[in-house]
Amino acid sequence: MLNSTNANEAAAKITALVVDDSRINQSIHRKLLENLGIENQVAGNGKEAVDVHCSGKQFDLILMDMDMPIMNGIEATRTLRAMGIRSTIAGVSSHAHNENIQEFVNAGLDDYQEKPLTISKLISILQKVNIN
Amino acid sequence: MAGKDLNQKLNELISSLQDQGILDDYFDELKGLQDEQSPQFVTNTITIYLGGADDTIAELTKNLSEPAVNYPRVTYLADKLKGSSMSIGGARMADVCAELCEASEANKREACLALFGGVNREYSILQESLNKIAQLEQAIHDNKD
Repeated sequence: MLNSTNANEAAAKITALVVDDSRINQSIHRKLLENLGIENQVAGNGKEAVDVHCSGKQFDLILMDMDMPIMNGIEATRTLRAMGIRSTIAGVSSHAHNENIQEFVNAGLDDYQEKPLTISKLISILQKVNIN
Repeated sequence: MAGKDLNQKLNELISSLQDQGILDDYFDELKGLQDEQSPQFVTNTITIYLGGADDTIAELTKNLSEPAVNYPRVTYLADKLKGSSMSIGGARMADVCAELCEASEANKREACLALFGGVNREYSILQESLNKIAQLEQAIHDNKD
């Protein structure tokens, strides 16, 4: 079973991208990742997430918000998968409507967690990360 | 010791706010993220939340005062405010924002206006509470230096 110590050891090898337009969520998600020793950076919307991948960067884990301006999480996930990005993508949203969540999952998520994100939810997500 | 008193005051304040439903357990999760690398994480997060909330509420005020309300925009803003309020542990604030979201999705002008009044009231309470927490956090931090 993955406990906090094991999580830190495994997580030290993982890189992550936080995709969220909310500054407070960017701050909290980055701190959650940092406390687990995960190197990370931020994209402020789906288009920025796609652009950072087009520049050649790749990540083991993408924490993807659903509702964002310019390009939302559903569209960004679909686009990344169409580009051949095989990173673990975890949708993270406070959205209430199940049909939107299902569309998000169908776009290519490996996991979905309701906001707000906690350490235990993040550890659960990390168990699904494939380290290439 | 002054430091111990301040910590006790802070813990009592947080407990009281949680008992009133103004904050929920997620605030404890936030406090748990604060460490030696980020000794002012809670204060900084409160600052980010209040800054964002002020802007969103200002835009909601403008949108809801228009003769023809832009309901998709109001829904987006209310949902955004709900999400950020949940992220600071602001339970009552998040709940009233969720209700405003529903009213906006149903294009109900009067309900939106009434609920926005509720949003303003809850925000005033939450803002005052978070500012008290931030002041105590700062005092504890200053006491350690």
